[in-house]
Amino acid sequence: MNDQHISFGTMSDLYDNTIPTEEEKEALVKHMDSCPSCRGEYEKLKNTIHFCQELRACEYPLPELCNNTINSIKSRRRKRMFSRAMPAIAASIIAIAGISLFDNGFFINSPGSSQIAKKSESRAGESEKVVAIIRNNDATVLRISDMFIEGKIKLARFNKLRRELGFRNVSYSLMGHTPIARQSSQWRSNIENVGTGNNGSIWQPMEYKTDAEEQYVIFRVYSK
Amino acid sequence: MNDSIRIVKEEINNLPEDYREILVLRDIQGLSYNEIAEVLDIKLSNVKVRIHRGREFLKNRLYARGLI
Repeated sequence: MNDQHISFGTMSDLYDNTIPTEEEKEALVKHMDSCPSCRGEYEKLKNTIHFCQELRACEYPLPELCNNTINSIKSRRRKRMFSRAMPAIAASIIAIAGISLFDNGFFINSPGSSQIAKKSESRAGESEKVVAIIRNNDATVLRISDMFIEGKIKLARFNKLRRELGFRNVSYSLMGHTPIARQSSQWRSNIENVGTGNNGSIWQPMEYKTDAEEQYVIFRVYSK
Repeated sequence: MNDSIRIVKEEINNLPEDYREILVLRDIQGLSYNEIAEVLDIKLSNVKVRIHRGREFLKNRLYARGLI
C-alpha cells in the first residue's frame, strides 16, 4: 500500500467511513500522511462533497432538484416494473393485473394530472372490456401498452372476435404457420376503422381457407 | 448568490443522470447507502460504485472550473 497510490474509490470509501477493517483504514491514513499526491486528491474529494452539502443549506432550487430527482426515479421504477411484468408466456395472467398499468404508465410525468386521472379511469373500464372480449374468444393477450392491446387468436375465431370488438380500431396480421417479423408499416397498412351508427359495420369478414384452424392472427386493439 | 455555489449547481445539473441522481441522494440529501439502494432499486455494491464514479466526475468538473 505504501508505494501505491490510493484509488479514488477507496478514498471515497474512506470519506464515508466504509473501509472494512481498522487495519486497512490505518494503513490508508498512514499512506496519506506521507503522500502529498494522495493527500491532494483526498482534499479535492472532501471539497467536492462539502460543496454538495452546502447546497443542502440553500433554499432555492434545492427542494425542486430533490423532488424532481425522486419523482423521476419513482416513475422509472414504475416503468421498469411494468416492462419486467410483460413476458408473453405469462401475458394472459398478467393481463388481469396489468389493466391498471395499461392506463397509468403513459401519464406519470404529464401535467394536468387531475384531468388525466379522470380520463384514465374511463380508459381503465375500456381496457377491461377489451381484455374480457379477447379472453371470451379464446384469444391470448400478448402485450399491453398505453397505445394498444396486442393479442393472438386462431384465424378460425378471428371473425367473431372482430365483430365483438365492434367500433374499435383494430389492426391485424395473418401469421400463417410461422411468425413473420412484424413491422409497424405492416400494421399501419392493415388498420381498419369500422364505423358505428346507422350504417352498421362495414368490416367484411375474412374468408377462411381450410387450414384456418392452423393459422394465427396477431391483432392490436387501439385505445381511443 | 455565491458564485461558487452557482457553479456547483450548474455542474451538478450537467452531470450524467445516473451520477446526478446518486450525488443528490447521497451528498445533498444525505441518504444512507441502504436507503439509496432501496430508492434506486439497485444493489449496494452498485450504489458504492456509482457514488465513486459520480464524485470523481464532479470532482474533475469542479477542478476544471477552478473551484477546488
